[in-house]
Amino acid sequence: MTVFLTPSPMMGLSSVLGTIVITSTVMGTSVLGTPLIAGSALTTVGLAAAIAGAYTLAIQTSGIFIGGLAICLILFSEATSPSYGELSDFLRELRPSWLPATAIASVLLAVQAAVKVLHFFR
Amino acid sequence: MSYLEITRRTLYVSAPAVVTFLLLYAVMLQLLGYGYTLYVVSALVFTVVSIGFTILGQLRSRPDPRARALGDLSPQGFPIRARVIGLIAFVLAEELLLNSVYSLLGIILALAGFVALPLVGFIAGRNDFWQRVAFETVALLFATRLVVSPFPVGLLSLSVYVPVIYTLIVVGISLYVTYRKIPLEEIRVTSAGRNPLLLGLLGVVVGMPLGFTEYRVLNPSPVFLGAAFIQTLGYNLLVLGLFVSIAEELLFRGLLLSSLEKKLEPWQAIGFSSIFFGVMHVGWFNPLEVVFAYGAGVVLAYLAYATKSLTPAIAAHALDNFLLFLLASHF
Repeated sequence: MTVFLTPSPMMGLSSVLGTIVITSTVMGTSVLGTPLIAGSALTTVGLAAAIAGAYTLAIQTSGIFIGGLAICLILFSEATSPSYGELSDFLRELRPSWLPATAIASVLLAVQAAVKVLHFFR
Repeated sequence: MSYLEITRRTLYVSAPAVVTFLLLYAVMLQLLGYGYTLYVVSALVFTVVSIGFTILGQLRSRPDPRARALGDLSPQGFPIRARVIGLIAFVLAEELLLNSVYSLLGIILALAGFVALPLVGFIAGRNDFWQRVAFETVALLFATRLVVSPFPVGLLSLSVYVPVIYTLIVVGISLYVTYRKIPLEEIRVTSAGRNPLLLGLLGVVVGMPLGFTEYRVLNPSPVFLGAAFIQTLGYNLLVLGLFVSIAEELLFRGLLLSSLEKKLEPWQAIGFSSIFFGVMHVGWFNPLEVVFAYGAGVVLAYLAYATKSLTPAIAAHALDNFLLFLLASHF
C-alpha cells in the first residue's frame, strides 16, 4: 500500500479532484441529455458525405506530400552530415531537431511503398 | 510548491472551466440547435474558456519561488504561455479543418506543423532543450494525423486499422525519444520506485468512472470481431485498451506534460496539456466528448504528476477505452 501512503495528502485530493471533474461532466451530460451529437452534429446527410469525400481525397493526396517531404528531409540529413566536414552552428544545432521528423517521414514513406506494392499484387 | 497547493490550483482552474463550458453549451444548444455550426462554435468556445481559466488561475496564484526561478511570473514568463496558446490555436485550426469539407487544408496544416514546429522550437528556444521538446511534441501530434496517409481509404478493416495506426504512432514516439536522447524517467516511463501493480490498481480505480462517463457521452458503435465473445474481449482489452492508451499517454502525459512542466508551474502544465488532449478529440463531432477529454486529461495528468509514473494513467486510460467499447457491444 506504499503508493497510497507515501505523500499522504495527494491521493485523497486526487480523488476529490477526479470526483469533482467527473461529477460535473456526468451531471452536465445528464442534464443536457446527449442524444449524441456524433450522429446529430452532421444533421444533413449531404454534409456528412461531403466531409467524408473531402477526407478521402485529402488522405489520398497526402501520400504525395509525405513522400516529397520524406525525400527532402533525407536529403537535408545527408547534406548536413558531419562526415562531409564543418557546418555552420545553425545547421549543426538544427539537424537533431529534424532527425526524428526525418525518421518518421521515412517510415511512412516505406509503409506507403509497401502498401502500394502489396496492393498491386492483390 | 506543495501537492496541496497544486491540487487546489488545478481544481480551481479545471472544474470552473468544465462547468462554464457546459452552461455555455446549453445556451449554444438553444440558440444554434444540433448541427455543424454548434460543433465548430463549441470547439472554439471550449478552447477560449479553458485557456481563459488557466490564465486566470495564474493571475490569482501566490508567488512561488520555483515559478519565479523559471521566469514564469516575470514578464519573461509571458512569451512561454503565449507560445503554448499559439500552439493550441494551431492544433485547433488543423483539427477543425481536417474534420470539415476542407480536409485537404487540414492535412496541409498538419504537414506544415510537423515540419515547421521543430524549426520554430529551435529558433524560439535555441538553448532551451525542454522548450524545443514541447514544440517537437506538438509536431508529433500532427504526425498522428499523417500516419493514416499510406493507407488508401477502405484498404484496412476497422479491426486492423486501429492496431496498425497506433503501432505506427508508438514507433514514431519511440524514434523521437531515441533520437532526442530523452531520459525515460523524465517522461515518467518508470514505476518511480513504487509497486507497478498498485499503480495499476490506482489506475483501475480512476479508469472505471471515466469509462462509464465516456460511454454515456459518446455512446459509440460496437466493435464486433466475429461471433466469439472472447475475441471481442481480447480485441477491446489489447487493441482499444492498451495500444491506444500507451500511445496517447506517452504523447500527452509523457512528453507534453513533462516538457511544459519544465517551463510552467505544474498545475498550469496539467491544464495546458489537457486542453491539447481535449482539442485533439474534436474529430468525434461531439462537443461533450471534447470537454470530457479535457476533464479526463486533467485527472490523468494529475495522476501522472502525483505518482511520477505513467503506469496509473495508462491503466486508467486503457480501462476507460475497454469499458467504452465493451459496454457498447453489450447495450
